[in-house]
Amino acid sequence: MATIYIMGKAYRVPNTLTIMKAIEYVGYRFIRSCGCRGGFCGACTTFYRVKNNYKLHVDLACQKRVEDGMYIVQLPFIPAEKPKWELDKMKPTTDEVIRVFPEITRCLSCNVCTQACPQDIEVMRAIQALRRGDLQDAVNLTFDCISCGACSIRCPAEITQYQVFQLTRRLYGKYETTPAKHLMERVKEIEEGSFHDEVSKLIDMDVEELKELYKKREIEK
Amino acid sequence: MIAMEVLYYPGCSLRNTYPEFEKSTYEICGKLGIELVEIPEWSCCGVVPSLATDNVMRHLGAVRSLINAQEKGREIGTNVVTILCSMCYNVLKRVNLILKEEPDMLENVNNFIDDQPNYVPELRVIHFLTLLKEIGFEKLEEKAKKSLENLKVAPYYGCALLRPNRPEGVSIDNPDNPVLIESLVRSLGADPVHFPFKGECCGNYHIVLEPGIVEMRTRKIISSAKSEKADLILSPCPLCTYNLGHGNERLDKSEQVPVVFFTQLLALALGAKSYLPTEIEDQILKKIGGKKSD
Repeated sequence: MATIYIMGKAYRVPNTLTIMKAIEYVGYRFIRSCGCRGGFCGACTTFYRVKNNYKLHVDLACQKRVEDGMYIVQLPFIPAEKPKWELDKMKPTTDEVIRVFPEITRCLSCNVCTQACPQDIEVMRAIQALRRGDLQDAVNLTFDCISCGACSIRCPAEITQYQVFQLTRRLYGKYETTPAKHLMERVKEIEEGSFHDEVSKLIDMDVEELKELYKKREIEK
Repeated sequence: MIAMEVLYYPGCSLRNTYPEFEKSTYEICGKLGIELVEIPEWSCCGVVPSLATDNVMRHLGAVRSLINAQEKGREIGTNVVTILCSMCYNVLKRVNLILKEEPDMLENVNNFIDDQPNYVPELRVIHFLTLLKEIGFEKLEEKAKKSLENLKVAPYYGCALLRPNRPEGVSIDNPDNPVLIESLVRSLGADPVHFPFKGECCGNYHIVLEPGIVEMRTRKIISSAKSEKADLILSPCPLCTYNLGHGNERLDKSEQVPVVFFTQLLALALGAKSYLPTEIEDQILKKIGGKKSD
């Protein structure tokens, strides 16, 4: 068993549980800060400290196992407005990214963003890559970003890194990579209405019938 | 050939805005046998050095770059870092000096940066001009393919290479009357003109909010070079180049003096690719015409 502190209150929980399971174990029911439960969606960003250590840690509640003496709080939402951009009118350059997010140039190289990242992304290095003019490096470094926003909460320069990386990847994807052939074909099929009948059939189905179909579905091996 | 490896810090402005500065430098180094080893994952230098003596935060970008340089330097066996951009040089040089001279500050920074090795302030940060001077201008003379005879140049230093001055400090030469670039171009046969405004500030970041200040200042600098019939102004700095270019645009054609990086002229003299605009390169060749020694 381990003692953990959820928003200041002590609880005894089995130390085999994830933070998310432990929060449910003590009686909370998630109505938010819980998404895929599989470490992909970034909804359950959790900040914690452990006893006798000044470091503030960030992890995904669904992925991190509890430790004895953990002080835990979850962030329900990251306050940030997403700026509007029009990819069609932009060029794949770091200057364009900096024009949308000029606060990038306030980066102090403190690296707390990197330390905050539950995905172990080298966040500061990617921001500095944008300053260096290396769009590709920034893209490659941030592929695993799940937009949880922990970096932006810690940043003294108030950069919203996860949004910056989204724009970076979209610019790169649009202009610097070859379109995937199978994707283009599928988009064409959708536009031509190839799946229209099947979708309509599902929409019209009654609930019980739909449940039965779901149970019998082909599962990817 | 000299055959040496030197750590190299490029900087953002140069990489993004003036690739010709960097490319012509690589050409020069190729001719001289200097291998520039780019510091891995260098950060922005911080642009302006903090004037508050206890503001460690503002210096972290520079310190992280110095730590990366230190680690790479241990690998290849050098402690010399060379920098082209004079603003980056100014910042990194000053931060390095602070860390050398103030043990408390060094300890503070090393404690904060707990995700990288400690910085041991043993690096030597020098401007590329200093590196050339230490190699010896006579080496340039030996390697030169074209004599720059008849070419009148106005060597511009700006602030960042000269100030602040203190013993063993930031200035690459006597801050009141620097002659380093003059010696350099003389060794290539060019004629440096009397240029009293060579250390005058170009207006710096006023270009963003008060471009009028930049126009006023650069007019003085450019017309001083013009009155001595300079064919070119040689610049060591991306921002000065930008500002002098802005100043030129506000002048009549007859009053303008083209601004190029000193490395571009040097590359031309060494018979390497200069990355000069064709028009300017043609003007230079016409001026030094018939002097091609190879």
